[in-house]
This record gives sequence, C-alpha cells and structure tokens, in this order.
Amino acid sequence: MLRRIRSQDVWLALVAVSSLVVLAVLPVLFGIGQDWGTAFASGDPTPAATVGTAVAVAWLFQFAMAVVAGVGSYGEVDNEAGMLTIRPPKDVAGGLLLTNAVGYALYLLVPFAAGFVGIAVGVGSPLPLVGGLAVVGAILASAMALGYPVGLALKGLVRRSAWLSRLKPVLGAVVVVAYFWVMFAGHLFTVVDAVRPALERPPLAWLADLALVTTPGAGASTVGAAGALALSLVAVPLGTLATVRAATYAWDADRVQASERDDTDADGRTATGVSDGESGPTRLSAVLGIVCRRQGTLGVASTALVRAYRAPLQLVFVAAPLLFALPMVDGIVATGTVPSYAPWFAMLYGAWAAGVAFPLNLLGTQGGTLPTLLTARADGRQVVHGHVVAAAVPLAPVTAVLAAAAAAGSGRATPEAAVIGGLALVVVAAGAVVAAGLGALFPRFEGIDVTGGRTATPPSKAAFALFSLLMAIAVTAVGVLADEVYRALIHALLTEYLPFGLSVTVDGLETLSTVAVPALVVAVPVAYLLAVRRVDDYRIE
Amino acid sequence: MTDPAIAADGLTKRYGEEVAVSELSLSVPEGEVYGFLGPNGAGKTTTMRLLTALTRPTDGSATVAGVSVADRASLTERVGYLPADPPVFDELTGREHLRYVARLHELPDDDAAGRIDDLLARFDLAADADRRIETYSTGMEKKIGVIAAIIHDPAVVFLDEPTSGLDPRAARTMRDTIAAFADRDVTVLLSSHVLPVVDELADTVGVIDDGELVAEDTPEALKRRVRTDDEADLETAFLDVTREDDVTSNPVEA
Repeated sequence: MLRRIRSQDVWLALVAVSSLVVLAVLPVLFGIGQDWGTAFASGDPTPAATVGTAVAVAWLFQFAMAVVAGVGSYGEVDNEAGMLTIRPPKDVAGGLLLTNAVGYALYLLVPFAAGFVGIAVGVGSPLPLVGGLAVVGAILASAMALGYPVGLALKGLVRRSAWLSRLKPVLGAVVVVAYFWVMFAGHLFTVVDAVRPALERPPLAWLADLALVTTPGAGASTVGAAGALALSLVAVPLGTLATVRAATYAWDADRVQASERDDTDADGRTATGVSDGESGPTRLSAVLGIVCRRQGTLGVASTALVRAYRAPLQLVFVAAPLLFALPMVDGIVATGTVPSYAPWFAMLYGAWAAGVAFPLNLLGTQGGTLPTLLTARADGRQVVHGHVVAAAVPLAPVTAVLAAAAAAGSGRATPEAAVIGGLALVVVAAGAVVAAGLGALFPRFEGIDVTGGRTATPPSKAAFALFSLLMAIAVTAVGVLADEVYRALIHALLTEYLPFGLSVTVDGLETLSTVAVPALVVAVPVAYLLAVRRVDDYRIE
Repeated sequence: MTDPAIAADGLTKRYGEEVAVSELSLSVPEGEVYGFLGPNGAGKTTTMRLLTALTRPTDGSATVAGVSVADRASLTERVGYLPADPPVFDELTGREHLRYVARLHELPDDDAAGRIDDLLARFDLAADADRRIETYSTGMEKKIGVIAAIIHDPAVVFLDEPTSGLDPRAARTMRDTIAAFADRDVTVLLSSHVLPVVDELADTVGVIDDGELVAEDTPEALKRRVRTDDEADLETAFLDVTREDDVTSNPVEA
C-alpha cells in the first residue's frame, strides 16, 4: 500500500502544493468571517447578503462536482461484474453516492469551518458554528443527491449514443477548458452575476438563512432555514431513488462498441473498397506518410497520436501549464493588446508540450507492448523519428502560427513576426528531439492513477525537470538574441528578481545567450544520437 | 547437418545474488516444436527474453536462426515473441494494432492488409477486428498477440502460454497453427502449463526448474521415465522431474 502511494508521486506533489495553497487561504477566510461576525455583533446585518451568495455558489459548485463525479469514473463500479452479482444495483448505487458525498465533505467542511470560526470569534459566541455545520450538511446532502444521478444519467446517454461516445474526448476537453477558463481567468464573478437572480431566490436563498439562523444579529429567517432543512431532507431520499434508476440506466447500457469503422457497407468493406478499418487513422496515416519515409516511423507516429486522441487523459500533464496562459489570453481578449512576451511564451509552451507529450517517455509509454517494439525491425531511429513526428506535426505549425500572430499582434514588423514563426517551427522540432534523448536516458514505467480505473505514465522527474529547464533556457536565449523587446523584458525581470545581489547588463545577457544558443544547438544532435542508441541497446532487465 | 534453429550454451542470467537462469544449454533443430515446461518462477520467461534479445545474459551465449542474441538488430526479422500477457494497446482496434506491428516490421501496407485479413479470419476475429481492444475478452487479446507475433513470418517463434484464456475452438486453432508452423519448418519454443497441448505438439520437451534445465527428451521418453506402462502422462513426468528433492545440476537423460 505504501509503495502504491509512493508511486503516485505526481499526485502527492500536487496534493502538497494544493494543501499549502489551502493553508494560505484559510487565515484569509477566517479574517473575512471575523469581520462579518463583528458587523453582526454591532447590529449591522449587511454581510448576510454576501454570506448568502457564497453559500449558494458553494451549492452550485458542489452540484456541478456531483454531476462530474457521476458522469466520470466516480460513477463506475470497481470490478463491476463481481460487485453487481454480489449486491443488488440499489446497494451499489447507494454506496457510491454515500462514498462520493463523504469524499467531498472535507472540501466543503474545511473552508466553511475557517469562515464560521471567524464569524463565531467576531460575534463572540460559538452559536454560528451550529448553523455553519448545518448548512455544510445540507449543501453536501442535497447537491450530491441531485447532481450525482444527473451525472449517471448523462453517462448512460453517452454509452448508448455512438455519436456522443465518439465525441467524448472533445466534449471532455471543452468542459475542462471551460472550467479552468472560469476558475483561473477571473470569470467566476461574471458567472455568479449571471446566475445571481436564481441565487437570491428560494430555495437557494434559504441556505443562507440556515447558515446564519444561529448567528446573533444576522437577521436570518427561521422559516427559510427550516425550508432549507426540509428540502434537504426530501432531496436525499428522492435523489437516492433517482441515483438507483440512473445508475441502472448507465450500468445496464449495451455500450456502443468503440468501433472505428464508420463507413462500411453490409459486406464490411469501406466506401473506398479497401478493407481498412478506420477512416480517421487512415487519413492520419496519409498525412503522416508525407513526412515519414519508413513504415516503422509511420507506425510509431500514427499509433502515438491515435492513442492520445482516444485516451486524452494520458496527456493531462501537457495541459497543466496552459492554466498560466489563461489570464494572458483573457487579458488579450479583454484589452485587445498582446503582451510583448506572448510570442515567446507560445514558442516555449509549444516546444515544451511537444517534448512532454510523446518523446519525453518514449519507452515508458509503450507499457506492456515494449517487447513488441524491441523485437521488431524498426530500430532506434524509427522509434525516435516516430515520436518526434507525432509531437512536431500537430504542434509545430500551430505554435508557429500562434507565435507569429502574437508577434504581429504585439506590434512587431511583419518580417520579424515571420522570423519568430519560423523559429518556432525549428524550436518545437528541436525540443521534441532533445526530449527524446532525455526520455530515453531517464525512462519511467510506473503509471499513476489519472481517474478511477485509468492510468497514465508521465515522464520521470529527472527527464521532466531537465527538459523543462533546457527549454526555458533555450527559448529565453533565442528570444534575447532575436528580439529586442523580449531582451529588454528579460533584462528587467532579471534585474528585479536575481537573488544574492546578482545583476546582469543587457550586453552580459546577450553574451550569455550567445554562449547558450550554440551549446543548445549542439545538444540537439547529441540528444538524437543518445536516444537512438538507448533504444537500440535497451534491454528489459 | 543444418545448424540448430535455437542453440544456447551456458546461458546464465543473474539479478544481483539471485540466479534466474543457470548455465542453460539447449539445441532445437529447425522446424521442431520444443515444449518448455517449468513451475511458476522457474525461469521460462527469462529464458525466452534472453533468446529474443530482450534481456542481456550475464554469461553464456546463444544463437537463434543462426544469429547471435547479442545482435538484436539482425535477430528481429527472424523471431516472433508472444509474452504471457498479450502486448496490445487497448486504445487501438485489433486491426489497427496489427497494422502498427506490421509497420514496425517494415511490411508494406498493402501486403500487410492482406496478411492481417487472412490471419484475422483464421483466428475467427474478422468480425471484431474494428472494435477497440479494450472491449476484447482475454482470449481475443491473446489471438491478437499471436497474430502480431507471426505477422512477419519469422523463422523462430517463442510462445509463452499461447492457449491460456482461449475457448476450446480457439485453442484448437492455436494448436493447428503451431502444428502448421512445424510443417513449414518454422521452429517453435512453446511454453505452456497446459500439458496435453505440449504433449500433442512438442517434438522435444525441456523442463526448467530453479533456472536449471533438469530434464530434456521426447514426451514419450519423459513419460516412460516415471512409468513403464501405458498409463504414464506428461503431467506425472513433470511433477516427478520438478520435485523439490530432485533438482540436479545436470539434465536427466531418460
């Protein structure tokens, strides 16, 4: 068990970072609560409206989480065949609902506890804690009971629909991007404003009454509080019944088989007359065939891309840095002004993503099929070429267009923007090659749990850290040499943040970059040769 | 006299202090089915990995189809390997996976497509070829693994538990396929715990225990070793030669 927990190192790191963030936020919540409590104690009930909005938003958020839990892997049964033949579906569904509710309890309880302890301190009485505890219970019970069956019903719908099953990866990506857009680009308040009328009306408004009914001076309605409690008590059995029905609908579905043949006639022949099982992958192979000279390269590249499309969660780590880009993109949309660093950010992300997506763990992501790869005629060159092609073909053009567009948008002349676009093509391809070298040198075979039953095999920590560092240095050095605006920006940043009293002049920065760029250029063929040799010599020991 | 298809001389693999395979020497003529038996953890899989150049020997040497196992680049087109767990990508369809393997073997797409269709039909998988492997049963995955191991027409095939998880009809197809290999002078190293299959197909049986080859002979001779009447079977012989107090450093000649 301990070994299994240790193997989830990526998640443990995320949990540690998240915990630090939460620990930093809790005192803030306490302080806000204390201010509100002081206001209530002085006879000013004004903060009650804000408390009401916060509580209603928490309910909406919990409801959305419950839907996601139902439609996602938390709505699935481990060892389904065994479990559903031992216990009736109602027991399993009820158990899952309870498990999920308990699982989310801490997420609600901790921030609410911090806030209501603050209110209690401000008021000078422990009574607000009773209301706080009651509203946490009401939110958790009602939102989970109503949201979870909705998620399960959606799951059943997707399983029954070939069209929705096929679109699942795209729909999932849209939902994730929308979530992060709202949460990290400052749109949460816009959404809250849009739904405010619903938040301020019963029954959601009653949750505020329940939260503050025991807080002296808050002016909460006892009737509203009773209404919230009563509705929660009604929602639980109704939601549980709905959960059982929705779970049966989802679990008993004759899943649409994930066939990739969509244009076959009755004889099983494709429209083109070629016995070819999958039109999408075939088109993909045709495109990749333009740049792949060897069959082995084509096989590796097309397989990597098809697997990524059908199981996009394998690449969840590639998307993480985009969170940092959301505020920038949002700012561009809002102000119409492109920051001067945007083209270089686009280039850095494109090159980094190209490396992390496939080549940075080119052996580890083979999983159990590694013997097939190693006992095939395809040699190290084809394996490396295939992974670099899989990363560069989709990402290099996109990165080049984005970098060039950002350069033009930020006021650079057209020739300069074109140079930046061209550089992006080279840097992305070079980044993928460097990643292959590091990935072959530091492979990782242990997977981590991405969602319930699914795992991903991220790059090793050594490969990840070294590659990220090299890419940051490479793009910064290239940018300093090629772009005056970027040079000034980097100089300003270093002047501000260099530790231990260190400083660097603009000339010094150029000199450092002039040394770094040739070294990094040399690193590309070295990494290539290293990767090829490692794959050719790799043995399963 | 032709060179043996598989020749191992003192093949040894140690993991630190632990000896997985010890001084293993064997010689398998071309076109022969060599049944490779042994208890769990005896060293069968390690031996197969050594002979397919997936693992580097600590000591000793071996050639497969005339190529040293130290030269994997030359060996790959001559060997096919089916590990005990079929090596497949769940996200692909059966046909896609086989096309991927065919491409790894540098088979032209047009040639590969015909061969894939033939093999899928032979293993009764044609109707399911365009479904994702994640929806397959264990037996179906095994069939895809076997087809992938032989798609490039290798001279020597290493099969680790090829019939486990197969329904009777598929197991029959597998046995016929292995028998057909021998008819085409393809050499097979067959590891299986299904002893009747080994008894039916193998020309020679080698028994490995604790990393050592403790018995090697024809199935009939091995069976006679434990019983002199007609009641003897390979299971009894296997249990006899792998008794804990019967492990010797030298192969037993019946």
